[in-house]
Amino acid sequence: MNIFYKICLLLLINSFACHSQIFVRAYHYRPTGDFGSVFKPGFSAEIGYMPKFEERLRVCVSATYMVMKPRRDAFPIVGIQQGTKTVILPGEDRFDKYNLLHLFAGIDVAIIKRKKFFAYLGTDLTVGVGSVDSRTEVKTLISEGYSGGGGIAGFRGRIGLQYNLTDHIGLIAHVNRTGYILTEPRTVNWFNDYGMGVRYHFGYR
Amino acid sequence: MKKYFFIWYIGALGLFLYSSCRKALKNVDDYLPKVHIVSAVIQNDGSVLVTGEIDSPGYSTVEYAGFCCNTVSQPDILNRQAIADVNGSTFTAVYQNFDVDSVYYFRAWATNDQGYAYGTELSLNQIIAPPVTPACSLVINKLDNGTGNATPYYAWVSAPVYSSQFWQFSALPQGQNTLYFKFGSQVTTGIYTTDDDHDPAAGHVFVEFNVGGSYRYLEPGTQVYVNTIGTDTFDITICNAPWKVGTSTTFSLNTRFQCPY
Repeated sequence: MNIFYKICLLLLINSFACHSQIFVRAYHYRPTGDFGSVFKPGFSAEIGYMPKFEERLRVCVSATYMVMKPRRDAFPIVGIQQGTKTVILPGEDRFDKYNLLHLFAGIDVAIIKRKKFFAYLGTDLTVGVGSVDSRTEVKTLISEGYSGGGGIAGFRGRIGLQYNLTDHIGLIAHVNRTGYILTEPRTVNWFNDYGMGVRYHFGYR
Repeated sequence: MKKYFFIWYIGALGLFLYSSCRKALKNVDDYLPKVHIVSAVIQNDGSVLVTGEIDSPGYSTVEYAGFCCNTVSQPDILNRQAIADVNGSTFTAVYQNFDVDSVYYFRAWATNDQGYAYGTELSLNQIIAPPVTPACSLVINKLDNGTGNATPYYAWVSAPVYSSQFWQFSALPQGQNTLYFKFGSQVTTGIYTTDDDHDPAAGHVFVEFNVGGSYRYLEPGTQVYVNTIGTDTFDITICNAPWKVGTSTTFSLNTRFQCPY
């Protein structure tokens, strides 16, 4: 979490320094696929750099931090003991921590470009880190804990709308879909998010 | 050039957004299989045939389904675990060896790649097979081996002992030689068939005794009636069971006794 705050601070300082444009977006995320069977939907925020559309293309950079909450305190799992007789051994998986820091960098391409209103498609590359604490227990077979994490690499696709209220302030709405690989423990995760935010231009147009 | 870039861009984005887009299920329990017990029926041999049904496989196909059983409610999956034979959405398993005085709780369970879940529970008490009616009516503790030397009672009868997949006991009639009984399956209420194999199959029994210094046995094919009359106590009747001395002389044995006695 500290890394996230530092990145946000850096983005903010940079925005002031170069009379740039930042955005803050609150969003609701929904894990899908196997990821969705384990973690609850939740809320988070994203902060980043988002210039105005000079042409149809703009480059965006942002960061977000997600604290994933498991859908159960303990997930019932089984172990199979093969021998003269097969025995199904009961067990459980617990996730005490599953936090993700994503850094995004990508482009928005305006499909509709009016004076105040823009509709656009966006794609990002994402890198980051995941921090995971988990525990697996299967009676007489497995008793192991995991504490650590790994790197994140993936993509994000986006449909976005922007409406400029003034020369300085604009409203944005994004629907994103993100897919990424977490290197340790190795998983491929997907989630959708839906959110609205504010884009602010510190300098003069 | 710009046009082609846009087409490629929108196509690639659409493909990416669509991939792995399986919506999470609203209820987390829906990822796990859902099963319930249909019936638990006491069979003629005193075993219990338990039948379950898969209501939903959950997020993926069912890998294993079965039952657990205990004398306390809500048995754990490891309590007398029985992995069932799954046939379509129905699965069955057979339980044996019950204490007549206990209540038994049966609970269904199933697994898929998301984990396992329990189903409903069903209880049975006084698990005892329906009594069998012998073809003849004899006085208890009497042996008539057909040689004209009927004996009025047994001196003692041992309790069945399990050894190497067989249940064995012996019975000593007053003034005669011991009869040895070897059952191919557990002794419980039911009708067994005599066998000339020293290692009888399930449902069969080998009966041997000494006459005139030689061991004889009951010819195969005769019915042996066993009724459970208490905890590990049985009433056993054999009607008109042929046995031979040599190849031609045939006698007929009739007996009824309590085991153990």
